[in-house]
Amino acid sequence: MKRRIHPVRHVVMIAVLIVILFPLLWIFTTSIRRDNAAISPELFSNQITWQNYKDLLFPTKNVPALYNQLVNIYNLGKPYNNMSRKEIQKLLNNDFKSYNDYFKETEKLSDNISSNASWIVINFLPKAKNFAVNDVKNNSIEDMTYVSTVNFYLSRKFKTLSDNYKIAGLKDILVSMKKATPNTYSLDLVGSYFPNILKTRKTFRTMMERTAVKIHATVKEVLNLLRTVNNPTAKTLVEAYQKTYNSLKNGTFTYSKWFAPVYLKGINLNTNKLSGIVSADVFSKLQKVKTNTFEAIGKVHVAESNYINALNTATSKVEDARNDLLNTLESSLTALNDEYANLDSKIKDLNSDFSNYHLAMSNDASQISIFANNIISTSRALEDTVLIMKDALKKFKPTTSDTGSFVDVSPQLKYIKMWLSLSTKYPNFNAITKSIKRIMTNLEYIQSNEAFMASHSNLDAMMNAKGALPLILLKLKSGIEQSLIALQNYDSLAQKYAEISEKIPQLKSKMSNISSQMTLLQNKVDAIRSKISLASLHFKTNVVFKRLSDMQKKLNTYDDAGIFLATLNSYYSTLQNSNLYPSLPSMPKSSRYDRFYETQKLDDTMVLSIKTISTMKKINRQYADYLNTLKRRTPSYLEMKFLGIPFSINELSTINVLYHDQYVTNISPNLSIISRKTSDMMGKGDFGAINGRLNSINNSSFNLRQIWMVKYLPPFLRWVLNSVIVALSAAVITVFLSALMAYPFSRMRFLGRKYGLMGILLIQMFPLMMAMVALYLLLNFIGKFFPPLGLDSLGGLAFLYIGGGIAFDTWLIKGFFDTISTSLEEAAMVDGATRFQTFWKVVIPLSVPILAVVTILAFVGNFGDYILASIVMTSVDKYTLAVGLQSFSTSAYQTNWGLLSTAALLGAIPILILFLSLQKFIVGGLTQGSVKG
Amino acid sequence: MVSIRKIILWFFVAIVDALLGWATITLFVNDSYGLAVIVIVLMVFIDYALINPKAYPYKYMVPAVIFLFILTIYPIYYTVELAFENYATGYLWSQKQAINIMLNEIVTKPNPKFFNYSVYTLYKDYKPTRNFLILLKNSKDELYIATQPVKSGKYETSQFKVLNDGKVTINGINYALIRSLKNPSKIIAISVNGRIYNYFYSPSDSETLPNLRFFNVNYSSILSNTEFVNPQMGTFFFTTTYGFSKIVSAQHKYALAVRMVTENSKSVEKTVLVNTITHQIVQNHDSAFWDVNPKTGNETYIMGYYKFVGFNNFKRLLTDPRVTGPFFSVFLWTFEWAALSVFFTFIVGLTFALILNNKEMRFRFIYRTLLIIPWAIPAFISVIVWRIGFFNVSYGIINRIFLEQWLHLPALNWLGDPLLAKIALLIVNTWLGFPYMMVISLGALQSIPGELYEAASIDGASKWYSFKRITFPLLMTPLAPLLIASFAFNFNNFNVIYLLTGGNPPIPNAVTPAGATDILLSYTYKLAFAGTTGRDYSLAAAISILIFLIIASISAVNFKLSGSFEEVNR
Repeated sequence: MKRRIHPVRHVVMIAVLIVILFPLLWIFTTSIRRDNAAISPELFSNQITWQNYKDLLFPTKNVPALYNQLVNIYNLGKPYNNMSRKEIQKLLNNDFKSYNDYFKETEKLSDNISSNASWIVINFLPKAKNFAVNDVKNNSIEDMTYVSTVNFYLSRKFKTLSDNYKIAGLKDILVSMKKATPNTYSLDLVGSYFPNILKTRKTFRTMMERTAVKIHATVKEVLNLLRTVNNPTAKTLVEAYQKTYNSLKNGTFTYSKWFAPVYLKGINLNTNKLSGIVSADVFSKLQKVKTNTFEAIGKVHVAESNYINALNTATSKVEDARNDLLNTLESSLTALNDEYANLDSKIKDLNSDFSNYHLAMSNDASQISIFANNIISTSRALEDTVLIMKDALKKFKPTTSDTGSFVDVSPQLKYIKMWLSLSTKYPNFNAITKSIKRIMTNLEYIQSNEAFMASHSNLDAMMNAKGALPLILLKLKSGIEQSLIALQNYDSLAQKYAEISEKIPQLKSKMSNISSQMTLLQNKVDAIRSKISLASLHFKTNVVFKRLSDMQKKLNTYDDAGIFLATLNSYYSTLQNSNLYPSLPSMPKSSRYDRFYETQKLDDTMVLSIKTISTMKKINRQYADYLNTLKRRTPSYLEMKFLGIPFSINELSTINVLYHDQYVTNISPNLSIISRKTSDMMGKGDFGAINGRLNSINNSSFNLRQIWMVKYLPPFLRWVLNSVIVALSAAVITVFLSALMAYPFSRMRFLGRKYGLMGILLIQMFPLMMAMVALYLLLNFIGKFFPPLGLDSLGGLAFLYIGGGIAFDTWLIKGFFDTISTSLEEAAMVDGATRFQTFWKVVIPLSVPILAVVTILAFVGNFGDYILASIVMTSVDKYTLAVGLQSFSTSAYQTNWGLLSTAALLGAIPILILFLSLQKFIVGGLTQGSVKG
Repeated sequence: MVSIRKIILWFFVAIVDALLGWATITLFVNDSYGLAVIVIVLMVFIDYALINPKAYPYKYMVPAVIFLFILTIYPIYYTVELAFENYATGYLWSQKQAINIMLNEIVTKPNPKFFNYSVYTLYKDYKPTRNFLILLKNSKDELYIATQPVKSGKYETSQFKVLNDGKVTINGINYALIRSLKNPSKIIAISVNGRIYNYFYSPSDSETLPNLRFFNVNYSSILSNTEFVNPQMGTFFFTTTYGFSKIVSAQHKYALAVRMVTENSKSVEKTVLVNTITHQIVQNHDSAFWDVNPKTGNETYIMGYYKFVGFNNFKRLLTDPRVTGPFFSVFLWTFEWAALSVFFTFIVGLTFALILNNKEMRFRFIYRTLLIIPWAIPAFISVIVWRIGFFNVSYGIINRIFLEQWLHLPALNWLGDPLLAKIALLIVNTWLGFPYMMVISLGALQSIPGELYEAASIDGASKWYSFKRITFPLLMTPLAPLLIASFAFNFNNFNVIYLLTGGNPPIPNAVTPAGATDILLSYTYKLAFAGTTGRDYSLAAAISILIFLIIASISAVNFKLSGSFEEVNR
């Protein structure tokens, strides 16, 4: 019965396999990534490096590591403290040599970066910029259409507004006009509402132009006058005139801000200073020129003031318009707001009173209940006494002749009545009230029968009662009296409490009333404000539209394009922030200008590269210089150090300062920016032509960083070696001992065989790690006498693994020995071999493959152990791979995924290969399900 | 020939016995009675195996048995012993050790006298040696020489004598000061019978600071254990009160004395510990020593010692509410964890096995090999990768890329939330463990004869029906013991738990360091080795025994099923 397997099954299998093996794929791709995978938004990267593998497998010292070694050598720290001068000198020479290699490498890489960057700046960027400008030109048409649509839309809405709103909307533009020189579009716009501004501005402009012409002549004249004078003051004076002229010509003249205090003062001062230097004739001429200039400037100043006054008038009108619309509403809103806050605080006060009263009341209530305990117990005594008395008096009948007083209960009754008048109001005192009522009945009985009792007071029972009653009554009185105070207090609080609880809802309703009024008002205010902002946005759009369309027509250079886009973007962001935006058509996508922005990024990056690399080269040279000095002075330094004279080596500290101040703070961040940006740009289609160069820059900056940055490398090889030594030696010894032990169990019959086997079965069940406390203390103890088997030693750990594996492996090997036929051994014995010889020469050779497999499995098991290793090993260079990797992954390396995944992969692959090659045995059920799983 | 062999044998036995005998005595001296008994038993066994010709089979076992006794049987015994003691932080000494420690405690006398000191050392080849002297100076600027400390008993002793005109003779050795010519107040060296000891270190002289390291490594351990003796001035020590800047007149805080003590309402003379300052007898109760304040009668704790406490630790596990709460939640989760792990790994593994069991399927060997990979990578490596790369809250790609970037979902606190942490653990453990289940299921599937299916299909049985009635029952017979073994394994699967979550997130308000994902074994580990408030070895041992009992009963069932007991009898 053959059925074909549907291909879909393979597709599904492959998909599932990809999911299942994804972690492996991820480890591998992460280990060869060049960027920091822990923060990169990409799952994979096309930037590849084998640096992590190099770092872990063939660690070499880079510049900072060499520096640290140098410092240690010069300080004669460990292990250099026991070396001879010659050895140390040799070490140092090696270091200097590797330093030199690094310097050369740095020079080479730097040259590479700067040459590539300059090539791009010179040969590629101009073209790219041209393209980008054209791009902007083409794309800007769409933006212009969009802005004009918005403009049209807004102006249609704008027309429906009444004048007040329109004028109020001018505020933003007026403010911007005050801040800087206004553009013609804003002027025209504002002029249409306030013609005076236009007029005064025009006068101001013409005044400036006219004066500029005049002062141009003046500058020439002054130059002429001072031609022969070679004096800094003269130069400054001419400069001041020149600047005055410039500011007038450019139309940036602002009298108050800096013109008068700086230039005019300069002219005045410097002219006066020249009095002794130049001839009297020239000086008087200069004075005259100065007076003329001041006069002219004065006129300009007047014109400017007129213009500013006009602006101010307009501003105040705009403000008035706005106030007309909003003032009354806003002030009433504030008033309502205040009232609301007032009510709110009142309610809060009441609420706190409320809870205070509540607390006080519960205090009183608890006090009353404390007294109640007292009263109730006394009331029982009273009741008993009364019962006794009633009993005694049963035989008698009250007569009218009974006289005399027995006991006076009236004070108690008075208090009790007061008590009851209050307490009946409160159901939570029901229990006490009930017992007090009982007291009252008893007391009333005594009171009403007082005379009757008095006449029989000579009875024994009555005598007793008479003796007991005063005490009881006293107790009652004090209890009731004192609790009455609490009760009264409670009563008054309860009344207040009730008052407040009535008041609060009233206030709350008032508040909600106010708040609804406020909402109404707020809505009105918002409506007005939105109308004003509509007007404002309309004006802005109007101005921007005109400006942009003018710019767009003249869009020729890269800089033009930059300014155009900046203006456009700032307008768009205004638009996006306005509340009208949702009702407008959606904006064109900004990604259309990506080419321009990319070009801009390229430009910036290349400029940054050139700058950074020139600093890098400088540092490189300085570092080399310092090091040369150090090298020259080394013999004398060593001489002094060996004499034990404490001193610090100047060059080393200088180098340290240089490294930290320049490389760490300056270059390192720049290099990573360059690295990141170049790798970003490499994928972009527009830069296909320079992909190679970008890649080269990227490579070089990465390599530069590898040379110069501080790296913290874990002692990975040491860990692997530790793991292998411990796991392998333990596995070999375990299997050897187990085979020895398994042989008699399999082949011989002896006393204790059955219980021995049972014992082994039992022991192998007990995972060694459960006795970890005992093992820890055991190793601690052994270590005191024999350190190689103590804590924190490879021997100690291997010792534990041997002990943990013997029982299980014995059981396993015994099972295998059982399957080997005994006939071969018998034959050997017949030939005269001893028992041991048959074991050693027959059984063992036959089972070599299986023993090898058991050894490897034991090795894999020991290799993967974490718990015992983590308990035993405490110093970093004794860690096994499991402990090391764990400590590595929890420390600062948590985000250094490159190193971590490389270490993981390097640690995993040998075991993976071993395991897969042993598949046959594993599948054969040899492991009996206890290796892993 | 035979006799020579015998002589060698006896010689060997003698050496082994001597070694083991020495070990036994050492162990007895160190109060390790348990280990000593084990060594004696071992010695008897070895002697018997080596000497008695009838004990031939035992000879093979000797080396392995040595390891088994020391590393398996003794630890088991010791764990049991620990479980019945109160061995924990604060109670780490035996009573004898505690008394010794107290007897060594030194306390500064009231109104103590001080000496400032400076060290002079003998140089050899321009390097300082371990030969040194101390120059002492009191507040009156009188100078004393203290000789190199000599070991006497537990302490080092050093005699010191006042210098007369810059010279003194102690034990027949002449000491003379050598002063600087430029600045006579500076003593640059001391001549000892003509050998020159140079000025080396003084805590008050910052110029000698570079020598501090050498001083700390080579001298300070000797000096901190030195009694400075002068017949007129009494004993002096370095005390912790002044660090290492001065030597101070001091005394032992506790001493042994014979006092009248009331015991069982009878007065008896007894050797007791006495506080030498308050002259009060040190009290001994509640597994600790206590000082008594003579005025108020209040007792202050000095130090604890461990002792037998019976079933206290087990009682604590069951009755102390602060221990019981976290213990039961850990206990429950351990079972859930083991059962769910077996369930998920088996389901996934069996599914793959059923797919791959088809002989017509191409590449099945490749598929199987690839699917084994998660099992073949050491668990500690893959778990660490899962933790750092996948489940980390802020960096892990599950949160950062899959959830936030691709699906636009909020990030999940994978390892910080109890439920999510458990889910994460099960995901990882299923990934790690399904290949094993697949492999054993494949093996079992291949042993089911194909004729059964043919017969079933002839009878018109559906695929599902034949799976239910043929495959599954026939699978379970060989697999049941393996599944139980897998349960037992996961019950103690420390690596995955500890390396992925560390047992976290912690259970709120627990006094012991328990976490929501801790299993019993990781909880034991934390109790013994990772407690922030203290280590409770005995409670850990008690839990170990509980784990053993559970595992043992599970395994017993398993052995019954797999026939291991019969193998013993064969």
